[in-house]
Amino acid sequence: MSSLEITFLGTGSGMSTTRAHTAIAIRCDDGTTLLLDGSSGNSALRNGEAAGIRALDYDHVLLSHDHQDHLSGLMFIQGRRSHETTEETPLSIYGSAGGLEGLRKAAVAGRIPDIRENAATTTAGAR
Amino acid sequence: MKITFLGTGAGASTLRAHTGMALECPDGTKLLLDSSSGNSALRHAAAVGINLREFDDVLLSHDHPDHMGGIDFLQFDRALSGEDHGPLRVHATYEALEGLKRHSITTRLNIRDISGDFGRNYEGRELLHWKPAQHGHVIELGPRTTAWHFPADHITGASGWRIECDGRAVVFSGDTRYSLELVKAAEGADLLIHEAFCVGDSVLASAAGHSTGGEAGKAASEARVASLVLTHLTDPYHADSHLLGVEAAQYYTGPIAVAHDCQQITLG
Repeated sequence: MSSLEITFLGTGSGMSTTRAHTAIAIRCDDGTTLLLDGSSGNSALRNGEAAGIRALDYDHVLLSHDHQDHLSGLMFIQGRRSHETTEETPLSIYGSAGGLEGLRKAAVAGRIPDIRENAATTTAGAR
Repeated sequence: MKITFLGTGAGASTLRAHTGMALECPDGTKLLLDSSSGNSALRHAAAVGINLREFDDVLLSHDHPDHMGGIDFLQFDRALSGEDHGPLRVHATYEALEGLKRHSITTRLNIRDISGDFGRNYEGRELLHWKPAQHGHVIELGPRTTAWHFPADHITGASGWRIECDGRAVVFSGDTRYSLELVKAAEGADLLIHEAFCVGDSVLASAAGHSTGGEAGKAASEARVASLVLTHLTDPYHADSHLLGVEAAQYYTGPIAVAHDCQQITLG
């Protein structure tokens, strides 16, 4: 019998002040790990860490839409991945054309390429 | 003066919320130092019984998403509260404010217009008030609370802040390498809240735009502050945070603490 392990990394709506914003991790029998939405800030990272799921574990992200409470955590997940390894580990993200365009704009505004803590070569520096 | 650490993690932290603090001054003034990211500041404030809708001012150190990202949700929470809160005032350098404006108009969380002095929603309601901080200018934040900023050595437009009320002074380094500007600005402060990236390797810390625990201690000693709190931790120092304090103590003989999320400190 195959199984899926579902971990709720965040269960709050956009207005929530008591729950992390929405994100769900799904671990499949074949070793695939999916992330449904990315929560906000580093909440998905923190709650994932607490549940034993690391940023590099995610194979794909399925994005429901481009509201900040669902996508803004992705930039920190991407940042953590490039922090942990120098290998190319692009996060593949599936979403509607509109959703992906919103994410692309947010990624540019968030200056994602220099999110690495040791990325001193960029003008924006590290954080 | 009460300080609540809403987040104490660096940008890549997976164990702590990103950096932000709430300050409650004896004259009733309530302000935020940075905003963490996502809704972490709101959640940690709620966990310790603080309503951030009562905080009308944010002193922003710089426009990296782990420090300013929480502003999205702070203004969203205020706007949708049904109460008559004015716009959230954000004090920062011109460069940091421009970064925040670009972020706000891109993320479209309520903000549709960033022209002039305000960030407005689609109805024209003012939700964010851009307050450019002029170098050397003292800002009056409350009946007896003032603040001024000084340059931090991190990215263009980065700064630290000194806040004073009733003769007490708190200084926040923001993100910075060891900085003589900070030493001058922190002179005689009751509390210096300084970032600490790692121990030992000042080249590594400097390359990342940050300080070691020892450099934070050195700054505290040279500025003759009464106490030092270290924050903005990376994951390797989450469990062994005392290592940062031990290194700081090689330079600074006053009281040293390493902050953790939701920690509260009262001065006086």
